[in-house]
Amino acid sequence: MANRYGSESFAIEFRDLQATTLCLDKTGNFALLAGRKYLAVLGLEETSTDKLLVRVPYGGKYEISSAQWCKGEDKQVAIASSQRCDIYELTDAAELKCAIRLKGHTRVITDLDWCSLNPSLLASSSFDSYVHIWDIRARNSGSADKPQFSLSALDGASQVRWNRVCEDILASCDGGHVKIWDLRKPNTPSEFIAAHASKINGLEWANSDTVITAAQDCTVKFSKLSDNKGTSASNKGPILSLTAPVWRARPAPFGRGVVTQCVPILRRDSGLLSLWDWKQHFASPIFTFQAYDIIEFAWRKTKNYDLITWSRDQTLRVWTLPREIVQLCGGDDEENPIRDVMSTSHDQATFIAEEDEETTEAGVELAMEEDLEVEEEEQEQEESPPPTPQKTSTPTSTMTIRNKRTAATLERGNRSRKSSSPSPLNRRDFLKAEFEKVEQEKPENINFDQIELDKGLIRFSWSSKSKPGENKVRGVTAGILASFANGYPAVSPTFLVTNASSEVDKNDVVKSLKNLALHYSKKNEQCLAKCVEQFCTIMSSIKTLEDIEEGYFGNVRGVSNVPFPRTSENEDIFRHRDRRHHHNHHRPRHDKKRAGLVTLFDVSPLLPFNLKLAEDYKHIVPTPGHRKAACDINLSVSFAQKKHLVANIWQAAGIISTFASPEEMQNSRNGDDQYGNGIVVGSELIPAAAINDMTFEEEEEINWLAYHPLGCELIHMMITHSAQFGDVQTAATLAGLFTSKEHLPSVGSDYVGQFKKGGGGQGHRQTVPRLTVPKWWTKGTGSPYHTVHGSDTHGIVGGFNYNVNPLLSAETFFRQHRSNSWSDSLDDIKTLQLLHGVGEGPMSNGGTASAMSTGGGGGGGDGPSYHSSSGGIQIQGSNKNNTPNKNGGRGGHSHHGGGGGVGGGVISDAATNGAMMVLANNNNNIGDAAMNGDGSAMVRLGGTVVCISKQLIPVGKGVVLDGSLHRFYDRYKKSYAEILFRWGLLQQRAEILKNLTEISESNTITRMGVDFSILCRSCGETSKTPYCFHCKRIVSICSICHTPAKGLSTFCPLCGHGGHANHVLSWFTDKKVCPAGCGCLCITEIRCGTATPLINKTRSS
Amino acid sequence: MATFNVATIDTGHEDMIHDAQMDFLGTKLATCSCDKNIRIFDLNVQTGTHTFVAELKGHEGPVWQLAWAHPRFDTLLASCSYDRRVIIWKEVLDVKHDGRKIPKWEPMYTYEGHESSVNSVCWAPPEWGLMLAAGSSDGTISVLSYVNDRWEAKKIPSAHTLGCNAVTWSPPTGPSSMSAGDPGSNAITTVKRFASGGCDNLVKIWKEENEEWTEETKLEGHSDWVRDVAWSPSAGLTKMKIASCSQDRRVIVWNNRESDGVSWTPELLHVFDDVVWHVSWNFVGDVLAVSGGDNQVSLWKKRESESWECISDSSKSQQQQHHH
Repeated sequence: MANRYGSESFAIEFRDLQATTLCLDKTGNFALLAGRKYLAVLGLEETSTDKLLVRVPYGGKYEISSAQWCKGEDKQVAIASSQRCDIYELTDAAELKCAIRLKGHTRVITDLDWCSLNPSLLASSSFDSYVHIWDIRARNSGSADKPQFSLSALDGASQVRWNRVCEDILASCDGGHVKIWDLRKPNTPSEFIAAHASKINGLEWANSDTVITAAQDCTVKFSKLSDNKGTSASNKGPILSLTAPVWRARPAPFGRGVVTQCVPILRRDSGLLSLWDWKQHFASPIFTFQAYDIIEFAWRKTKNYDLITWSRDQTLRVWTLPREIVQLCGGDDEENPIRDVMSTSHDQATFIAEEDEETTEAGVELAMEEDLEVEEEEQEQEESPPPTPQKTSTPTSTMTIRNKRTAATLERGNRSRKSSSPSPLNRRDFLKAEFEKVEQEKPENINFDQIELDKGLIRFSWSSKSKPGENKVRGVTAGILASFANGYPAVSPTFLVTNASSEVDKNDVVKSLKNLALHYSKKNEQCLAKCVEQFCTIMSSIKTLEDIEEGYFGNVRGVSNVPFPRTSENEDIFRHRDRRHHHNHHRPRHDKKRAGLVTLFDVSPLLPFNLKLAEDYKHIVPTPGHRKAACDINLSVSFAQKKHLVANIWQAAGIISTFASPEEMQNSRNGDDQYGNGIVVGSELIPAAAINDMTFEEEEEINWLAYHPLGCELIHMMITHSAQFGDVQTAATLAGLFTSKEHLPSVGSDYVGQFKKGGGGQGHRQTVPRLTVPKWWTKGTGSPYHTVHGSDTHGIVGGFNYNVNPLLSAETFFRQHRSNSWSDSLDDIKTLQLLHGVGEGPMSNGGTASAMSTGGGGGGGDGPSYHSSSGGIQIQGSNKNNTPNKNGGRGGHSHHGGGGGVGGGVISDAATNGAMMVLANNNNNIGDAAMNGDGSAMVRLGGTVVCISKQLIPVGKGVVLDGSLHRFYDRYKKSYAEILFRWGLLQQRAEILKNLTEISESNTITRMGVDFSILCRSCGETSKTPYCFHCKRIVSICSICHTPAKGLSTFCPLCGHGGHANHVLSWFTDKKVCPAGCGCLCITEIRCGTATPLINKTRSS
Repeated sequence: MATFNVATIDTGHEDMIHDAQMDFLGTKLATCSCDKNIRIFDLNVQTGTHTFVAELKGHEGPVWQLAWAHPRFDTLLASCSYDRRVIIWKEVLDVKHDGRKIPKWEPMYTYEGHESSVNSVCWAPPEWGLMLAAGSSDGTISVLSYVNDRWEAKKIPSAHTLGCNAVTWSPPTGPSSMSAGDPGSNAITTVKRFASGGCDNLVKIWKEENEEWTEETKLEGHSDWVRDVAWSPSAGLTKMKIASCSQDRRVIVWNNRESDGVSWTPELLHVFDDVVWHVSWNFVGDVLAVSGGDNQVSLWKKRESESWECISDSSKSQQQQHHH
């Protein structure tokens, strides 16, 4: 019989599986039958041929479009259905489990292909126009659903196939075109083949450089890449014409065989499989498989080559191909060395199941209908019946073709096989001798994996040894397949790099070996030993570069001391950071579906303090006398925020602030009434020496307050307690309110020095008549009271003091001669205000008059605030005459007042009461207060005076807080300032920093001639740009935000502080004092005409 | 506990995110990923909205960690990557013709002094100037500082055999005690210190002496790789603390009761069910956040009872088992 028809050697029916696709694993021992309802694995080993190993319900809504076993060692199978692709794993216990789910496509997946060289790579094509390359190894950690590469095919790709020789190359087809991709340049196809005018149904690689395309136009084309120029190449290769559209054309695993499957055409027998020798003749098929309705077929190699088919009748058939047929196709000989190389390049396998299962369901549908239908909607997909051959199909015209086979061709095939069989005696002898020698001396990193001297094949590989102490092998490996031709050693061998880890530049290796081999072959010398040696050299040099390779991902895990993954199985990273509004932490949340999510959490409620408090707190007081009011405000603020513990602290602090004041007043009175007033009134004017003399006498008596349990001790405890529990806010605010720089020992400030340098400025000041008091702020710490003990500043102070203008003298006069009556004092101030015509008193800072300006603020406190302040009022009243009536004036609080000040809700505190009672003795002049109109202002005035008198007593520790701890408190302030900075509360931050006992490091601008220049604090040089060229720093620093002041900025011409114009403006909307804490009344100075605001437009350097 | 989700941001990274950091003011978010890129977002925490600003491409490997510099140094972001490099990115404003300013990110400096993956970067406290520590799998730690207009690197060779996984700076230390009698105690010490954790299961504390970095203390307590260390911010607290977490599933808080930086006593916070990847203090230093392989983030706070207590939602039931 000329025609060879095969019939199956074995058939088994699985009626209930309703499988629509079939695929074989690498060994050919397992077959997966997959359908919408079930996934089943069959054992095809001879011992277990009929065994249905496992059947799991699949339950998919959509038909399975493609399935393929991994071509590596893993028993993994990829199954595509609709838009997703699942990787199932066949466990040793014969369970089939879904291990990984790849969701990257947005439309139906049309095809899958595992890379045969790198078993972890999977390519999938889809109607969404992308071909995705997935690295399964990378996904094992449950990582993101992102393919390693995405190739944009523009049109929906219907097939994708890896090149079997180079793992970087793959082919995809869409419509009638084939695109060849090189993953090293994944952006564009490296080649483009317009193979067919109509749709390509099947795509395969015939060998390393030829693609087989089976198309709707009834042809199978073999297009060679290398001679492909533009679109004409499709004609170069042989064309096999059939009578029906071709569904698949796949190379057989032997020789030149190609199996074609035609698209079933209605009523005609189709789906028949024909085997062709594609290099010999297309006149007739060599072999035809007598099977109908075949859905899918695959090869396996046992002793012979078996074709496994799955057909519509739910029957699995095994066709054993007669050996002569194999030989007819040139199988089992050397004619197709690439195929040999390909098959041997795999690790253990002697045979690669290269026949990839093909799309059936969706694919066939495509063949018959228009592609787009599939991508429309799933319903459609479900509804459209699988368009594979109908049961009723009859023999078709393909039959006619396959009738032509003659015995002659069989003979010829045999002959050709014989003639081409190797006669490798020479080569073999050479190789054998050489190989034995090489093997004896082989380096430890080299392994000979495969020795087939008959075929002239030697495969050796290099793997780096792990270093001691490392758990894992660091992954530089590469294998070389050397193929020695017959003429060896005169003919140089060819080399192929296999299984190389990504660090290895394969081209380099091959090129290097090739050159070396060529060198020796020219001399007709053997080169194996040299090549192995060379290979070792190359590989060991690669070792150090292992980390840089772009293919980092696979290697990251291999490098043992890189702390990867920093994530868990489901990646979960956590960082929490300080947030505007507190600290929030955010953790990129990972779930398998979405990789790039970051979730922010607001954890501010965990903080012991909050932003709202910071916004509303009073952080500074113009004078110590305002502490009481400030405490009350803070009390009410914290009440409003339901921070009761904090509120308690403020309540106590409020009491202490009032308590301390009369105490001192009493002391000062006991000492020398006149003296006390003198200081109060004319603090700036009294020669420092005189004050020093006097205060020394008082020191002893006052000092006890510092150690009184209700004095600074208590405040100190409250501060440290707050801080201990993380409440820096309370600690810093308390410390800020209760430490005044005025009491602190002089902290060396170069500010004075600066002014001394700026001689022009000083001269200017001295000559200009001023309304304000002398420049007390030019002294050390900027305190008017500093003069009393800052000996080094006396000169300057004195200099100014002698330069007072008449008005000042008048003011001083008033004050010096003021009686104890507060109405006098108030009148004085009012007078001054009138004289000056400005809203704020000229002495609005530090001195008594400043009480006026803040009086409003303090009095502005709401109910609770005022309530508690009434306690304070009582105490003050005990010294200073006024309060009770004033309270009455406010209404609702009169009951607190009581002449003796005994009652009072706030001060019902036992300890305070005791103190109160004593102090109440001093109470006099109650009527005075009542007559003074606005009581609240009076109160504050009183408080002010009291406190001032206390402050003037120059004891380092005698005030409220122990001055020796000022740096300690500064820490709280600094860290709180930092927090305020984070919150963007620059104003509050500056207020806090203003209270620092050391003037912060902001640079100041000095005046030189008519130009401004900046004095750099670090090197002392001046600079006319915001940048100090001497020490290479930005020197123009904003006093408020403490960042370099670039752009529009403004600086006080006198003190030199300032910064960003908007910051400065906002600061001075309600304040008059320099934000840097130098004490300069910048605004007043400017208004009084001593200077004009200077806006310095600096360029950012 | 009243923590709430402010926003969920789809960063658009194509692969696993390794770090996400907010800047000092909480208005910017930077994320880095295995996809080699860094992405910057503008955030508005109140509204929970965010805007994508830029994608920083430059690394050739997965980017492990990010660190924002203090705003006084302008907008700087440091990143470290598997590609053995540290890149410091700077935001510059590109002024258009119409006066609009478009923020642009440029690599300001690339440090290539490591021979293996750089796993951690951390900026020093701003008081020390622009200074950065980077720990690498090659076992070394680099301290980069910006002096005289250029970057200088000091390297600590073999800081951790097998590799350094994390670095963290000590805040400037304050007065060590409140004893007023000791005049020296008030001085703010200017010793620069940082801690590192590595594959040798150790936490080490490094101190700058005579312009050289020397190992001051070695904290032994973990039995597996130390994955992260975090030095608590000093805010108001006198005691210094370092939290370290390890693959041995433990989190240890190291207390320096004397504040001398030398004597540290370990305190086991908790033994978790899985590897612990990260620890992080809030900026007051009283709450510690811990994340681990069990996909949980838990917050821990020290109660007055001197024991650490889990205060977060997810694992509220987990009470601290370790008592003193």
